[in-house]
Amino acid sequence: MGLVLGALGLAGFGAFLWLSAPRPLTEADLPAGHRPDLENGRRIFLLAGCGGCHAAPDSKDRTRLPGGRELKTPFGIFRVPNVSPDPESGIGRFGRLDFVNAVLRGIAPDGSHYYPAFPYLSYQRMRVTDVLDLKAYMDTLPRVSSPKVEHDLPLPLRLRRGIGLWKRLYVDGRPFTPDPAASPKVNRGAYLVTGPGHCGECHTPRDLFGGLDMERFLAGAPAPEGEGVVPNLTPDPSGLGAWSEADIAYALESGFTPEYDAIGGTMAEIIDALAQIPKEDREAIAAYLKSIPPIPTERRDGAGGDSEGRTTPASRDDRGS
Amino acid sequence: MMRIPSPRSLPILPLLLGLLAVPLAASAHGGDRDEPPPGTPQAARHEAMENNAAAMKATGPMVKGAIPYDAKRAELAMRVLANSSYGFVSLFPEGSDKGKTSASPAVWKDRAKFEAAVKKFGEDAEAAIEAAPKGLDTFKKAFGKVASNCRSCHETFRIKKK
Repeated sequence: MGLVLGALGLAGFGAFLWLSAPRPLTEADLPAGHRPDLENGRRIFLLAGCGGCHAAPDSKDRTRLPGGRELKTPFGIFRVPNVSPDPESGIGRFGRLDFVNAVLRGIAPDGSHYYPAFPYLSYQRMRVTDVLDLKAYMDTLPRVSSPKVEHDLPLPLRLRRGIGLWKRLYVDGRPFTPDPAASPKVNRGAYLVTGPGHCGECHTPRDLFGGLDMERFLAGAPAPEGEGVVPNLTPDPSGLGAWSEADIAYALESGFTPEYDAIGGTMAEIIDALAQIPKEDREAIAAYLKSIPPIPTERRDGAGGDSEGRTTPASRDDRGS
Repeated sequence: MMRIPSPRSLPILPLLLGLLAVPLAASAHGGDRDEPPPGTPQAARHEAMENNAAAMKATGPMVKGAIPYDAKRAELAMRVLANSSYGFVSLFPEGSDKGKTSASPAVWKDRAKFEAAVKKFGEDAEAAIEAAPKGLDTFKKAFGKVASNCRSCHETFRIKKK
């Protein structure tokens, strides 16, 4: 009897190991002879919001990336690491393949899994060349020293290997596929939003396991910390329905809604970054957001209708955060 | 026998208006059920900010070049903004973090930073009042400074709760 249980246990453990194994990209997946484009790298850096998480908590300098910021989530406290090119404290020793696997697959150079607080769930859609350009740009940023940080998580979640199971559910490893029926502009916007922009990570509600509820993609969600809400970006009247493409593009640059409410909260620093990318990227994002399925905002109490409980179209007010 | 009063003998009109006043007042901001009660500091600061948005809306298109520049209009808009900053901090007394408000706890936790931010906003708006009669190019720079206050304040001191 004991032998049977032992064998079952071993088999179960073996299955766990196999299911949770990392699935990294290999050298063969890197394009031969790619010459990094630093300007594109900077553009991706701004879009991907690296500085927004990895800069020091009280610093406005988003090119110094010592980490240290705390993210309080329902799963515990994550502490953001150093991603400056410092070889001791940061990722200075990462080779090209290491960096690509980190961003696209959430895998560290030693083969362990990163927690999906690092939004590789979205970054997995990025083009390898964009990731290589990003690395080249980040290699030019200042080396910053900082103490190593640990996350503060409950015991079951401390088993990093377990993330491999989560990845089986949520990380398909497929890069972005353009919609042949959509315009190049909308496809560009779709790539920017679903890939480096990782907008869905905040603007989409999460399910029980912390994956994104794709049925409500970009339809708004409770704020990760505190009492706030993250707005609905779909073209539903309770979302951005009353906004034109030009309104959206302008908001992403100026931080002003069509009613000149000033967008604040955690979106403020994102707009600081988006204001620096080329205009056509903001316009592409706007075009894409007008093209996605409209989904009504869900109230906190689970009722349908818009965020104020109305079922008639909302005004253009009150879309800031 | 009880006489049923005819509609003409009842103060129907005032009665109806009185009954309508409640939902009308509630819908003054498009049916916003989260309006703070009038006369409270929460309401006053909310109204001040709504007026600021209107002033920004009157000015933004001129600065964007969408409509011709009108110096008087720009000046008046900046006066609205400057005005909102005077005594603004007094609309955030202790205890007014309760109820219907978008004010972040940071207003009271980082009080000194909050007061400094409001003061800077007022000063930038005053500078823009001076700049308005000097033409669009001069005004644009001053306006940019004013506008940057909106986002940085809302980043730290406001939480949208719905």
